[in-house]
Amino acid sequence: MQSLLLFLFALSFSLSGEARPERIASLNLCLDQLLLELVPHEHIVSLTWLAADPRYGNRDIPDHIRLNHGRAEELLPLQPDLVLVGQYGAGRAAQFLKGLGVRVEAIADPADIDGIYRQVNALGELTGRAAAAQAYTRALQKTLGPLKVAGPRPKVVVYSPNGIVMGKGMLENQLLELAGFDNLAARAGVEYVKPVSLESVLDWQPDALIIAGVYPQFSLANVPLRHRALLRAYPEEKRFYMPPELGQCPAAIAGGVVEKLREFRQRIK
Amino acid sequence: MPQVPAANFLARCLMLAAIPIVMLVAMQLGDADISVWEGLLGFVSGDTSAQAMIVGEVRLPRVLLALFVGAALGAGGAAMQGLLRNPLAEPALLGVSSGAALGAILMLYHGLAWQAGFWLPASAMLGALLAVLLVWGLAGRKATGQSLILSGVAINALLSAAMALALNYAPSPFAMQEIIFWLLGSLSNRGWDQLAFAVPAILLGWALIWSGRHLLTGLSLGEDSATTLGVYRTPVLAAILLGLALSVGAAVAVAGTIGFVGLVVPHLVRPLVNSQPAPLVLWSGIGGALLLLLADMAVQALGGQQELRIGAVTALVGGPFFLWLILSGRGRF
Repeated sequence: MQSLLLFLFALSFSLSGEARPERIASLNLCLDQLLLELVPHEHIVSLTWLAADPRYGNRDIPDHIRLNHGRAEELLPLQPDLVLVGQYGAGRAAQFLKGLGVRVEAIADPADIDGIYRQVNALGELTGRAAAAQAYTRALQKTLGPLKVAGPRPKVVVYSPNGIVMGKGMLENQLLELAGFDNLAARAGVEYVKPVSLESVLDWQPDALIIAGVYPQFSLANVPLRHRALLRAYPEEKRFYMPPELGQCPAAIAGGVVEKLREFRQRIK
Repeated sequence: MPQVPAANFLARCLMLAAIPIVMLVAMQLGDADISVWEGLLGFVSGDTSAQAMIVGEVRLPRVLLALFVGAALGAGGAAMQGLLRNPLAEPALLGVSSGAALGAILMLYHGLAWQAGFWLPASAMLGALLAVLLVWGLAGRKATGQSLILSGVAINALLSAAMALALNYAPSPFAMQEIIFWLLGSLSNRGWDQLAFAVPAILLGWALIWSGRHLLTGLSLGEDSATTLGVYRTPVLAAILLGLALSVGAAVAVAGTIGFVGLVVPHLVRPLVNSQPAPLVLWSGIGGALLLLLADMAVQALGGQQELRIGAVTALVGGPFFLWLILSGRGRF
């Protein structure tokens, strides 16, 4: 009975030409968070199990939303009318669901700020919540906006696990520029990422150190980032830790990161 | 006691003299183009400029660590070859390396909280000690060379299996890759904290090995003769085994497993000391220090996108050389 009603309900929408999905599922960590932000929760049927992990989502997931592990058999019984996947990952499940006639849409992961806007707007279009998505991107644009940077631009290096620095073409670089910093790796001609020795980072003599991508869990990759030479030359107040979530869902936190970076710039000036 | 020819004396003097010279050259190596002398002066006066930090906190501890780790491996190898009366013996045979690796894996990926840099080497060290105790326990209190080798092989196999198991269930998806790199050994990005941890253990280990040097000398006559001479006693054996676990365990704990130094260096040094076991331990230490520092310089000079692992360098250089040594001296063993 319930499914029949749903069917009629869906039919009425498709007839009116304005099909607004009512049973949305996500197979992507970042789309999880954006869905919770933009779509009324009663229209979400499933999110990935990571959405409930405090390391990634850090929110309360309503009880009716089922957590999936990226497997088609978890989603099928929920009869989703729209399954959202990222550009990569969950490919097998997506193919399988498509084969069974479920509507599966992929949204590209953002590589830069424009990519974030595109991602949010694409989600808005697909879920029939374009207005909410536009409001979201407008608010983000306002935070990121073209800032008139007054005063000096402190020189920084973005150092991340395995001794990798981030240069041109990276979202981190864009955020730093917007926050009024001068990224020395970008200036040295580093495109995207490059492994650089501890010595070189010290030799560049940045005013402050931006440490990116470090999770609290142990990894040998983080060892260079806790070397005494760095910690002595750049004491606590001259270090900024980019939240590692930036690598997963920049759309959800980029605004907050830029605000924190601007505060940091004020502090070290 | 046979007379040491003058040429050997000269060779040993050269080895000693080479160490400070190689150290000076090693201090010049690095990506940053800086004045080492000014950096050193700055570091001593408490300056935190880039130059002072690079020389004092990055290069100097690395050079010193290469010397101490190399010396621990070289001396450990000589002691093992003397103890087991086997030219193929090296400290890894006692399970020191695999025990340390298992300890490190358990701490790295299954440890409760990874706070200071101290916990990793401490658990690796503990792993090495336990492995040696296990090997010794299995070989019997008054173990002979052969029973030590056999139980060493058995315990090593067991530890390898335990390592694979621990890695399989590690929560971090990168655990396997990271531990493989760790096992190849590295001296990069090491600092004073690693040095402060390893050096006391290495020194204590050497003291223990040195206290058992008469056993090594006695064993060169054979196990029966050593027993007859009264030097083959359990406490002496215990001192040497514990000394090996401490010194080599500490070296592995901070630098990973660096192969071949313990195996090759005693063979290189043996002619210089007329094959006498006790001086061999001392000079193998000096030779090991020199060799590892040179290997680390090669790692830095060759560079590349990914760090070249020092264990790979020592094996690449040591392997063919060892082969040449065996072929040229065929029939001597």
